[in-house]
Amino acid sequence: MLSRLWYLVLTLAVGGALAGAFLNKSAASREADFQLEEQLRRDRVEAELWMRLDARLRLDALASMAVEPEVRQTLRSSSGHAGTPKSGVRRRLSIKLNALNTKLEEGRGDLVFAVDNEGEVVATLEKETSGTEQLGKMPLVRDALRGFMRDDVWVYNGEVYRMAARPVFDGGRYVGAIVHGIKVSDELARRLGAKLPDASIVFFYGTQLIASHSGGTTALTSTELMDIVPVAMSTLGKSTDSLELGERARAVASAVRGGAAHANVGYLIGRKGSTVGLGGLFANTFKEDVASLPWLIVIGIPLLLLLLGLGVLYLEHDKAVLILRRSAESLEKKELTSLPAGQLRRHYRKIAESVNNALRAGVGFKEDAEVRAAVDLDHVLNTTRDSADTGYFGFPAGEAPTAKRVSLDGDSEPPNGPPVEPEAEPSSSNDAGAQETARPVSTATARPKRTPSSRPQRASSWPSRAPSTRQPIAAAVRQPDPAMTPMPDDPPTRPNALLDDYDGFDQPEENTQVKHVPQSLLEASAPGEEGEETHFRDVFDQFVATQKECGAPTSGLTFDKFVRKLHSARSQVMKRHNASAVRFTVYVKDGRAALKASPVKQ
Amino acid sequence: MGTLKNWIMLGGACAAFVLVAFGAVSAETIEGSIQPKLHDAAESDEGREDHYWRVWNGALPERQNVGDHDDVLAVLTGKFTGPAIGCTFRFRGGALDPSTLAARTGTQVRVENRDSFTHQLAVEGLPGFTPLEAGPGKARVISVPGGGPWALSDDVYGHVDGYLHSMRELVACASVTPSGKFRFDGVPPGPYSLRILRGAEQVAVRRVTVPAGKTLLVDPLSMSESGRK
Repeated sequence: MLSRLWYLVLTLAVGGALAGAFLNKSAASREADFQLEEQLRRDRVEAELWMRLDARLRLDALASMAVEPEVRQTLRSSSGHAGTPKSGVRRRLSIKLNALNTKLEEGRGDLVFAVDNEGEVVATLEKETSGTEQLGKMPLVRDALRGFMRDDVWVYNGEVYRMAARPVFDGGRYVGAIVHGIKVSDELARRLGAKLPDASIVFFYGTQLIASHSGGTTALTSTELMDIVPVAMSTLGKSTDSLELGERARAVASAVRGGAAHANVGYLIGRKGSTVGLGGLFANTFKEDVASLPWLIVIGIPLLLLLLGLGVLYLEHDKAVLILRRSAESLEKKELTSLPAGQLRRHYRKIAESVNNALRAGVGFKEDAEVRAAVDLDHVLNTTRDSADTGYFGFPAGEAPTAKRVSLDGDSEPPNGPPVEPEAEPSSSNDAGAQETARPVSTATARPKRTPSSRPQRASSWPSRAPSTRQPIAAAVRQPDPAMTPMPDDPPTRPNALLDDYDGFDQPEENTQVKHVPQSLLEASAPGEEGEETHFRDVFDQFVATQKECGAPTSGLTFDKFVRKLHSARSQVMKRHNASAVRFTVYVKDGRAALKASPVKQ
Repeated sequence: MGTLKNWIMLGGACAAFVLVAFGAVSAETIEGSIQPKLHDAAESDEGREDHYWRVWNGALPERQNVGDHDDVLAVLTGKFTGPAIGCTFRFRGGALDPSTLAARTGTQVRVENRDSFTHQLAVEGLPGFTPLEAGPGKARVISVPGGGPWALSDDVYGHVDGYLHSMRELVACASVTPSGKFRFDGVPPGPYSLRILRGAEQVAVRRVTVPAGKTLLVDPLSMSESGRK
């Protein structure tokens, strides 16, 4: 019982462990999502910081242009009431701007304007300027003209530029500003992506992709990121939450810091999260985590439980099996006569008690019993039958009554030994012959010659028995019993009368033995010609009478044919069982007469 | 002889009267100014977080923004059936110049792009107007129904804003210089209403009569004078 309880405990533990694992998986998935979101948030902060630093670097780099004397002088000559410089002066300033811009190397601008203090563009990187272009109302330029260094993002003729401007002063007054712009391109995304490992970045202008960087082969592609740009644009400035981008992939969107944000210029940073399966629960486990495990508990408690379970199993099963095994070996060696049921508990005790009961009853193996069993006469007859007269012996072999083996070993057991009582069913036996079984064998007298009229009555009573309800038990060996003294009117005892006590002939009756067979019976059953003829005649008469009683036809049944069959059957039975004689008896089977053969051994 | 002279003088006077009455005989000038309010003039972008850096240069003091009156428009209204005078508007320097526009009801107003980059003008709430890009040198024409004023913006540049006013008796428009002066040229003599528009509001109005043959000098207008929304 305890071991079964242990299985229940084991099942609950396994179920709990599995439930815990799956719960842990869900929790790990949520944690992974949370970490992904946090990572994207950090990415955005990092990107903003990087672009802020980049803007500062560009502003600082512009100082080399703003302090250039030619730039200052030209802008001073253009400002205020000094008038517009001539085209040659503008061209020279343009050349100078190009030279200064080239020195900026990585910070080299794609747009550079030199603006006077009225906001008019004096020179650009292009050598020919119209002289009428104004930028004074752009917030970036306006602030620069007022003395501020400032950055911005512009959309300039369909392209996006990161702008920076700083004032130019000469002679103690503001004379203009230098405006510098770098086009937003893949180079910007690449430089930003270098700061955000494994992240994919796109810059967009409306639904137009203007720059992209992929974080690797397993990272999100720019196409995947651009798919959510319409959603991202609707959330710009409203929400800082990340956007879901398929299975375990998220992206965070942000507008650029500048005037171009009004034109839906922004960027997306996307990442793929790690898939958390049952196996992935330990993906983020570090050696330190393993080292910090309480190994005494992790190993000790399961080990203790294992020992406890093994102990319970030993006490409940292994110990009993060991006792049974040793007892069986002792039993085989005849050191014991029974199994020690008292040392066992529950089922093992019942097993031992049942085996002991069987041992007391002398039950043997079925195979042995079949070897010793009487020959099914019908089987024998069927093998020798050469005609179509199956009406006499034609019942199926499986239903044929089994012939009894009669042992004539007279010194096997003393007559007054302990009686072995058959497990008889008196209530099912209404045959007078059944009561003859109570007679001691030693007093039984065989009838060498029975009157034909006595057999049909016995035979007709057999079908009323229930053959299959009998338990296979040892046959009775009749012993003298004062309480069972034969009455004067009892019919004479014959060997086969012992067999009549058995209801079922479909079970082997391997222990059927007859201790003493009267000499007269032996003489009657001897293979002598006269005795055999008499026996055959008796059997024939009984058979015909039984057939008639059963209403079965007897026409065509002749003694000669009958005797030929009996001879043939007798020979086979004698040969198979090494018997010295065969006795035939008649009984009723399925409403017709049938025969059984009983080998008689010397 | 004297009679003929009298008849000639009479005819001339009639003709002069007719020409003056229809404003076609002379085109006079009106000059005026407004008194700026410092706290109104100084526009500030300091509250807008559209940049990473906006730092003072550390060398010279900040140059004060006195206001450029880009958001102020002076208009004349009165009995005049000819085309509105001087009512042309443009993008220049990166924004509308001026940012307050006026057009006679039922006519069209033209906004030119004189910048070197593209603008995309939008008129909020004006039926039938679709924001379209207008490249350098291009112009957008707006049909102005009754009603208004309508807010103007630029879909590309967030700093661009303005207002469009629809006026039934619009005669002339004049932008205001950074110093606050304005000037109407080619205005027929006659009585008018001089109005100062700033954004969605009319911040000043004064009745004036333009004499024939000489420039009308209008006293400085206070922006709060007779203003109404």
